[in-house]
Amino acid sequence: MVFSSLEFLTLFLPAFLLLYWIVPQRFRNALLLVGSLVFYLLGTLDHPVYVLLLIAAVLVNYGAALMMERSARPKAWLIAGIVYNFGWLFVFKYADFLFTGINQVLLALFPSGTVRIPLLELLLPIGISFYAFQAVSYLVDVYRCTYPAERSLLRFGTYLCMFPKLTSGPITDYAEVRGQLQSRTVSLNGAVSGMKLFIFGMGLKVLLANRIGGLWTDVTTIGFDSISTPLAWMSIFAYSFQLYFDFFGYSLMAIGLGKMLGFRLPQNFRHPYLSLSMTEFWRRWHITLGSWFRDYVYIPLGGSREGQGKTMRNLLVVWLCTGLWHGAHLNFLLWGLVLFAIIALEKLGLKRTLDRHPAFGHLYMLLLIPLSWAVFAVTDLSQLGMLFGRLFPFFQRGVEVVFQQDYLKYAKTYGLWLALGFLFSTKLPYRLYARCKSNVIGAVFLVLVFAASVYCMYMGMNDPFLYFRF
Amino acid sequence: MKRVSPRMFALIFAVCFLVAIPFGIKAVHDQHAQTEAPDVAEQTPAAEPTPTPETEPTPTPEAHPIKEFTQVDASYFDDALMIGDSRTVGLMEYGGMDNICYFATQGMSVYNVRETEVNVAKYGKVTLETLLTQHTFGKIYVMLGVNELGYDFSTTVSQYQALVAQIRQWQPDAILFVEANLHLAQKRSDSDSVFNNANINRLNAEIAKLADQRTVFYIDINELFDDENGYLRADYTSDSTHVYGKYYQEWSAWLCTKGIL
Repeated sequence: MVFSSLEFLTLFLPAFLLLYWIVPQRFRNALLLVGSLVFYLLGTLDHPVYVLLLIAAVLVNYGAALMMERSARPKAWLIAGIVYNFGWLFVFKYADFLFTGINQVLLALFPSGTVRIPLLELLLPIGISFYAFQAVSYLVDVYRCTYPAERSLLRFGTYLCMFPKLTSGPITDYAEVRGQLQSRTVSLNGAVSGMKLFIFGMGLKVLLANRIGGLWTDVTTIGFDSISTPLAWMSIFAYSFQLYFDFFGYSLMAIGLGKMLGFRLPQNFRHPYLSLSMTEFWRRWHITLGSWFRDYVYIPLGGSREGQGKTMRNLLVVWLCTGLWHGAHLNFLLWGLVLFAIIALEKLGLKRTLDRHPAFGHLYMLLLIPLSWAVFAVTDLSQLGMLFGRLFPFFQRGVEVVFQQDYLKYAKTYGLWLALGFLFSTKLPYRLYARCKSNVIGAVFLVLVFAASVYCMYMGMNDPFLYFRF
Repeated sequence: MKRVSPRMFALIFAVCFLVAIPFGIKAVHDQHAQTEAPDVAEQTPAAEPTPTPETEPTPTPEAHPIKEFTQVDASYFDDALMIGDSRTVGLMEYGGMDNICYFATQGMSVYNVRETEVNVAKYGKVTLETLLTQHTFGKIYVMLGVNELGYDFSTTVSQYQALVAQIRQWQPDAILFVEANLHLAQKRSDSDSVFNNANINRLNAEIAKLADQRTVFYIDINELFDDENGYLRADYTSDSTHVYGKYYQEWSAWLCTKGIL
């Protein structure tokens, strides 16, 4: 189930919240766990077996952590747990990517095409990239004795499955919530504050992201080789805004939901489009993913403490993995590689210049953000080449644009939304909102956002959350 | 500025949800039920019984002999009008034939084609009636049907028939081309219970019945863009529903093979 759907908003959520607030505190974890499994099942009705996979993940990781503490060879249990979590992730997400690559080699060796590995073509279980990563972080933390293994299966299950963060994060360390799982307060103030955050996030997603995203959809429908250069640039900005407000909006909804249930979930975005460098950007964008890679890959590999050569190697590993985490296609690997190159350059000195000259830093990011997202957005490499050919037409022989001044048509339809995209990339609207959210203006604003969002969802102008396929 | 207490906010939010819940229930219910056709009372031509092809006064065979399609060049379309939905918009923007008059918008259907005002090059913002009563066209093309797939089939068919009859009334001498709707690519057709080729083919078959090969002609773009299994070629589209911009020029070239003189 998607947060920005009427079924969730008007049926599941009110029913769950009423129950949750009414039941005595000691039943809340159980209710949250059961409710989350129901939530997950309702979203995977076509493949109900996936909820069993989620339950298995809870049981296996709970057991592995306990065994780690009791066993004389805890490392074996750690490795078994990691293999279990990443094994399923590999099967569902990366196996076909690997097989396709192998098949291409086999085709070269055996041109008849009879020798090939059949693809699995499995549908990715919702949330697996997120809960697998959280499970692994838990196992590693227990191995490192950061905290003792959770004795209560109920509490651990609630941690892994809780619906506010089940489908698309934030990726939450167990350390952040273990206290809250033991005891938390649900207050009127907290619930109201959470609801405000939820509605604000819903507005960003349904009213802003979905509208701006229409431009990118329109351009992909036309095909990159038929658009003009101005339209190509407009479209990658549109994609950048859609991606940001979609995921940022979702994250606020998740945090707001957590708040309504008495949890404090970690922040995922901190005005990333105001960054002066790509390094800074990735500390402000999808913060919980960056932290995960820092804590469980970069630092264990040695981080930046073992000389420049090893630092570069560690950065390369992190960025290739980050790219692959986002998708099992060559363009994601390319995207990771591009980010690595940019960040490596920044580490070698460029960042100092950017930080010292903010105007230059902003201009630099104004170009690099949409261009790097373009590599992320287009899975087919030849299509990507076409897009870059339109973005930078001087490298191409004269391409005839059939629909002259196509950008005027789209500027008329999307100009306002693109302008709003720029505005909401700054801190201004959030500062304004923060000042008004407890007065009449804030109340009117939130009611309008709620009503408009419900209207849009009802009219079916709803797009699936871009990060949903992870 | 007056502060609103958390208690007040809680009340406001509770009211918001109470108002929204019926919409949620309706939305879920609608997902499982077939959508009713929009109210068609205003849309049937006034004081005119809905003509079916059989009751339409058939011109005497000698006055209108059977005609075959022939190759024509772009100037053939100087007096042509194309009525349609987003595919026709694509043809307008990427087909390269600017001499054609296009009356098309995204979302156009037989249910809204009479009320919709379209900004038509040369004539400004007009309704279909204004366009067809104040100007003369030698050929009129109609390509509608995909946006109607969610509605009751027989109502859609009778609306389509009524539209064609009305166009004939407004433009008695124009050659009418009723067009098949473009197939969907397999990815969408096989996974959508409403928007799929079985439903499109069912509607196309009814549209084809309107053609008499004398004054009304049926043309099928799918002969150009179909794969061997009757789906829109997957490499010709990104959304399974529209061809890429560059293929509209092939579409225009194909239209030139379907001239009627």
